[in-house]
Amino acid sequence: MEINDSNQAGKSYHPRRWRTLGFLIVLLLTSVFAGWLAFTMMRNWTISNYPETIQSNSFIPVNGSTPQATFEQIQAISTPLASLPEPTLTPWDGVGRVTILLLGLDHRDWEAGSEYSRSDTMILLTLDPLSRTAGILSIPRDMWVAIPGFQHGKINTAYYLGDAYKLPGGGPGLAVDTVEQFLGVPVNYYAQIDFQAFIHFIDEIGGVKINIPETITVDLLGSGVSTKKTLRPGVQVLPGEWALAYARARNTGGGDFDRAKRQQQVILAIRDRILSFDMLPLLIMKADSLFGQLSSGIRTNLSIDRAIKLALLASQVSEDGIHRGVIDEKFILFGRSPDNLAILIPLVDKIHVLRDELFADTTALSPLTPGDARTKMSAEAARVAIINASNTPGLAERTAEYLRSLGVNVIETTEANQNAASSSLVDNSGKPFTSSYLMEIIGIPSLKFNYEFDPSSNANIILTLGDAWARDNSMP
Amino acid sequence: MIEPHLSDTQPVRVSKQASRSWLLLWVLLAVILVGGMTVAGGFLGYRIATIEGASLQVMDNLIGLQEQYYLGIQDFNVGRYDLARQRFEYVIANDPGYPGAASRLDEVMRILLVTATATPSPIPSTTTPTPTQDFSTVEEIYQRAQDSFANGDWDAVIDTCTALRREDSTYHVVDVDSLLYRALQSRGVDKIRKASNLEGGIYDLSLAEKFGPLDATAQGWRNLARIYLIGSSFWEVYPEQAVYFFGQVAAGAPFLRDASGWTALERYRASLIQYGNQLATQGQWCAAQEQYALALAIRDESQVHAQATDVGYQCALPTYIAATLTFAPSPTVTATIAIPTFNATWTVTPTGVPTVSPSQSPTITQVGPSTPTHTLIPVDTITPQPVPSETPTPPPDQSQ
Repeated sequence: MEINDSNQAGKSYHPRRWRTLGFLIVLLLTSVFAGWLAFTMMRNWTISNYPETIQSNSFIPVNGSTPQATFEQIQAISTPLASLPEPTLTPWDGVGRVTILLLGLDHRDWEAGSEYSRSDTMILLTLDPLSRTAGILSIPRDMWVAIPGFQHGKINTAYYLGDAYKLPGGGPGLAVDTVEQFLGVPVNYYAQIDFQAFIHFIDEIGGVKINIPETITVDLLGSGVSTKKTLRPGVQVLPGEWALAYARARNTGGGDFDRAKRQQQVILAIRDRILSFDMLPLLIMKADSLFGQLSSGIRTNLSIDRAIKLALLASQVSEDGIHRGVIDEKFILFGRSPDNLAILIPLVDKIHVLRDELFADTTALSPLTPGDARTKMSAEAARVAIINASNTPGLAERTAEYLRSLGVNVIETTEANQNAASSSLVDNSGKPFTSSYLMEIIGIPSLKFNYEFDPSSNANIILTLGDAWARDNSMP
Repeated sequence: MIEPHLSDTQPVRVSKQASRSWLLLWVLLAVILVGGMTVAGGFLGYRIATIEGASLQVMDNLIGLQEQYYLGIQDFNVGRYDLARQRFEYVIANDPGYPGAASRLDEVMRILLVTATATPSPIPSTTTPTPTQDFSTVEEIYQRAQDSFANGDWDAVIDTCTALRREDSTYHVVDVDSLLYRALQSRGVDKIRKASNLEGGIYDLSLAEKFGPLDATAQGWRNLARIYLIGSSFWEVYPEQAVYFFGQVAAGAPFLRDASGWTALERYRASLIQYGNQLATQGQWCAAQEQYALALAIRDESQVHAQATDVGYQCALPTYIAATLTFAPSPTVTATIAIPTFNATWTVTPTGVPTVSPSQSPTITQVGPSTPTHTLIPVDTITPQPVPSETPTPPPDQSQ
């Protein structure tokens, strides 16, 4: 029997080879596709983390050494660019207090077809990551403030001027600068959200639950009588359009101040909605696509990563840890600007108190030495020298004994050449707790305290006793 | 012929185990190939995007700088020197070698009569540090904070202490508290004195006060900044209040300034003129003249001089004298108007400078006992900061 090996082999092995070859090709194609997919996704994702760029067709190349501006160039540059300039703010260090300026623009400017807009809402959101506390401060739009580089004006015009003059930071930059100059607190981020983006977001989370305290007429976006709606008192879940109208309404007795409180109510309602329905993981998962949908209505220097990080941080703040403040009629005087507009004149000292309540309690920049005043003083172990400048001989020794009994490390006592009426204190090396403790015990007026850094001094603190202490002291 | 063994002639059947091994091999190959390509693709995508992003940023930055440079020239040409300064400073902060920017800034600064140092810009520099995880040991961080303190770099002290607390909030806690206390206090004073950031300085001092008492110097600066800000809140609205508050600051720290660049002395002077204008509008000529005279004592200016002379003329008119004597007789008014040479023969020239015929021309120093006692400050020590002359007007506020 003649066996045709080759034929046999061909019949039995060729299909397998073809299968193998086919499989290899499919495998290779799949690999290439996977590689291409990974390449595209990673490239797009990475590039999306870079800030928006200006279209390259607006670039004017620099020729020669010193560019000379011609009239045409200036005219060309005066026309709006594809994107407005963005500010560069101090980035958050991840530990200290982080503050975001939330901006809402004036819808009437948009309706009027104005190229640039004023801000209608300014809210500072602040969060202290270490103490897990947060604060919300509303700044009224009519506040009369110094706008850096411009004349005094209402705070809502800063955004307009920044964009209109194309300042390096644009509208948000000048708005942030103005708020920083007004309140003194550093602002790390800004977020300006337009109405449609706001509505979309609220609808995305299924509306917000609001407890409406009194009947209020709100105006849905659009024009005409049909947009006027009435909200009755009680707890209601408002969809995006209604929530926006509620936050914008200013036709109650308190006007803008009431509106600021409603806006804060809506912000807290958003937080409650997200937390109560455990939506945060879901929102984080779809953050990219959500941001893609909302990005045209948001102007911010927050990256998605940073926004997610802050959202997670904010979710750890309990409701009791959120302090709310509105610069309302208690903090202002009503007035008229030179062009007869209604303005609010800030009462500087009162606003400082409010500011400090919301912002100055920053854990990373607060004393962390544990214990009461005496424990803290002991922990510093400051070396204290006492000088007797009173007319009472031996007062320094007696005071030294007394202070030693309280735990103060008195290293020497001397008599002064000159007499002093009141006591004073000089801190040579920065011992705040001991200074504070001694000033309290001895009754030293704050203006009699001086800090004179002198690391070579043997004593950290020099306490000079005056006649006032000799006359009136609590020593046994 | 050897009979082949039956088993040798049968087609070889691959055992199940061998088949499974092959399958496993294929799967492994597939995983390695697909996984490898995915990782490689992802890495390549990331690298390319990083390069593209960086070049786009450079391009973006360049376009931004170019625009700001040209806008700076535009501002300069129309006399908006403060804005021009901000823009040129921004350009230089981003690109110190940007052609022409330094000389333009120099030109602006000369006009603004600032010779010592550039006034701080309210616009933050783009060379802001990116927060990065500090992998140094706590000892190293602490040492760095101390070094920064020795160098007087308060920002660095505060940032480093904050970084230290992120690593270990209990490490040298008393000493770190002391560093923060001193750095915040010093930075607060520096912000007020040097950086024209009055509110920022007050805020830093508030933070420092949480650690311990503020020293007398810091309290003094805080108080001056506070009074400046109170005066500023009344700016252009209640000039008499502005005069009161800026007058106090101008007496203590005439060159204290806010972010706009206005010194307390200039604010005081401008408030006096505003108040003078307001009084003149109300027909209180002699009181207005007093305000103008105080403003002129700070710095002479032809326009104010003309206004002062105008109101001086009104103040000296017999009708005004009669009116004031009739309706508001007061020793001050009598004293102020006791200049016998004034009569009805005054003529006002087109330039607004009154001349008297036939007696000598009156000057504003002839007002009498209420003549201000301010010392005339040389013009070159004052830093006028003109505000934009052509502020674009936002659309009318319908809420008014």
